[in-house]
Amino acid sequence: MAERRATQQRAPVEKRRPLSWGDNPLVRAVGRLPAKVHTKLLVAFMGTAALVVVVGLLGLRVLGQSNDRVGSLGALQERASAYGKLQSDAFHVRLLLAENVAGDFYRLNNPGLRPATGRAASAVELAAANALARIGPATIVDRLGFSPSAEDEALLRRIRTKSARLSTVIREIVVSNNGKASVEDRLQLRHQAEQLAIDLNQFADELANATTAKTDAVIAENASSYVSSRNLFISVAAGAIVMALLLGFVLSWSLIGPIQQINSRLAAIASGDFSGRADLPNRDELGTLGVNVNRMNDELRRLYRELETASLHKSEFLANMSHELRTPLNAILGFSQVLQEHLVGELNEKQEEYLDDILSSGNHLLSLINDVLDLSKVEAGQVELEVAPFSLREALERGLVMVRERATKDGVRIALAPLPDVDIVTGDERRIRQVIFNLLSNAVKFTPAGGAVDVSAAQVDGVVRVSVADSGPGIAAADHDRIFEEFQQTEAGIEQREGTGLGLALSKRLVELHGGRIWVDSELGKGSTFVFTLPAGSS
Amino acid sequence: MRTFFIAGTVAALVVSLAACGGSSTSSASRQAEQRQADLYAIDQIEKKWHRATSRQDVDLMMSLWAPNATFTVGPGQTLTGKQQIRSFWLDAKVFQPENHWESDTPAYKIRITVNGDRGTLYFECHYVDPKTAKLVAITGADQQVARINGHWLITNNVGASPTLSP
Repeated sequence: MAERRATQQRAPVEKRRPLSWGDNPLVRAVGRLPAKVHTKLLVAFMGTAALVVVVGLLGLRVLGQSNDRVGSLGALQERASAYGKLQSDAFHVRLLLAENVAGDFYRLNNPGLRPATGRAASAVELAAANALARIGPATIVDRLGFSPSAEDEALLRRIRTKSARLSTVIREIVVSNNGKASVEDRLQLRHQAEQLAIDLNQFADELANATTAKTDAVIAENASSYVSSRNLFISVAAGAIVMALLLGFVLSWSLIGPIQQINSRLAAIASGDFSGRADLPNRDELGTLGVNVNRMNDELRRLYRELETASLHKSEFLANMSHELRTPLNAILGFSQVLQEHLVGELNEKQEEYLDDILSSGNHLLSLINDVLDLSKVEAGQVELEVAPFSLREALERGLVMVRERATKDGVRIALAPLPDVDIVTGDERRIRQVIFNLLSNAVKFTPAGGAVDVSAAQVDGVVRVSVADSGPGIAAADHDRIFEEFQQTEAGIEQREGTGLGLALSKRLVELHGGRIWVDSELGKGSTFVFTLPAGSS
Repeated sequence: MRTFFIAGTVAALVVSLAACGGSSTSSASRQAEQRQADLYAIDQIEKKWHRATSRQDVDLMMSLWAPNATFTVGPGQTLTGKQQIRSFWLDAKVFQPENHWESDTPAYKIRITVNGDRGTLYFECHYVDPKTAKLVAITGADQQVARINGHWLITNNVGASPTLSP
């Protein structure tokens, strides 16, 4: 019956979920990989961590290279300083010896000047000798304070040699100035000294220039390396970010997509739609879950069909049996009434008593059969409501009339409250009266003498709400739902041995067929209020 | 998963290599070529020097000097800056209208060194009077040169006696 209800309430279910990132081929490819979810996540996290490590190592390498270049620049600066001093001394010597250049240069370019002669010339040469005395020792490794390269060492050696030779020549010039050497010889010596000074100066320049060039090259290399390292670092970092994002995106959707699909499928199953399937490409736990959901779906569909068939057969059986039972029962009741009315002769007192029992039991059985028949018809979907506008007020008043005799006999006050905003409703009048009678007869039955049954109706939030309140023993909260099931009664009902346990179940089906609800508000010892609703103006 | 990671790694490597591609193309041969080009450019200073003195073209002569160049022309006389150097040349004999000498440097009388953006240049000038076909004078130029804004220029010159012989 529950399945039947589900069928009646089944909502249209989305057959295919909307397109999402889960349909991306890359995401599906990752889902198809034959690895567990935790393995995929682990690989993704390790991959991301590896990328971070790569970026970090790259940064360290760049820093290390930069540090090396700074170190080599420091060494070059030290050399440049030492070689610069040598260059300065060599140039000084060169300038001093230029004081005594040959006459041609002056004659040609500066006629006003004359080369130094005599003591002045000797003073110049002595100054040159003093300057030279600094150059030689300054080329020795111990004085330099660092180990020069092979190229530098070669130049330093040549500087030392030239410096020593120049010192010798200058000493000879000084001697010749004081002696009686010919002008020709002195000029020859001066030319020789100038040539040596030019060579010396050139070597010192070359040494200093080479160091400066190396320094410039390191600086340029540093700048170039910085640019390439920066670009490499940015590229790798950007690549790492893109890779991490891609990994996160693909992995998350390879999980979210299947979960969404399974969720959608479970929602459809919950609403009674067993027609779809969870089509998952995953070969991991989610894929297994999808397979199990599909198996569950197939099994539930099979069970549902079996139950539906069984329920239909049961309802058909009950309807048929009720009909078959009622036919002979009518005969029993009819002939019993004939006997009771003495149409076929007088009965003694004992016979009258037995006849009352037969009629009472027969009527009870007839009532039971009628309820079973009605209920089975509803379950089998054979009840077709005859919907039409009718007066709810009249239906309630007639219901009160039907139970008033018994209420009066039992000492129960029964009353219908004024109905200012309720009159005409739409529905199957006969079935609604059946519900009203059920609730009223229950109320009167369970209300002790001196108690009261109050009936009211009102329009609330677009629905018509009918209430039947009694001052009976009340119903425990645990029984509030149970009493609306078939053949279920409260303790009081069982003790009274009245009723079939089908009235409330039937009332519930009939109200729900109208699109309404029925429930009870009650506490033990505080009476009960049964309420049912009908959509206002509709069926 | 493995295919995916390989594809990602290859992509990252391509990006990385594209970023640093071409950085290692500088080579010794390239440096040698640059050195030859520099030697040629410095040698051109000597050529233009003689062209300037032979044609008495002071502007051409001054185009060979760096803005703050120094020129030691005699005992205790060092000129600084192009203005002083130009004045010197304007008064020099080789630039006087009455002297139309041809100047040149024999091939064995030139020496060049270069290191990066700096170098040395030594050459001797033989001045010949075409009218008499006689050698008028021989002088030497002992120079330091530097590459400034892409051009090789004289930064220092010391007047020298002719000292080189074949």
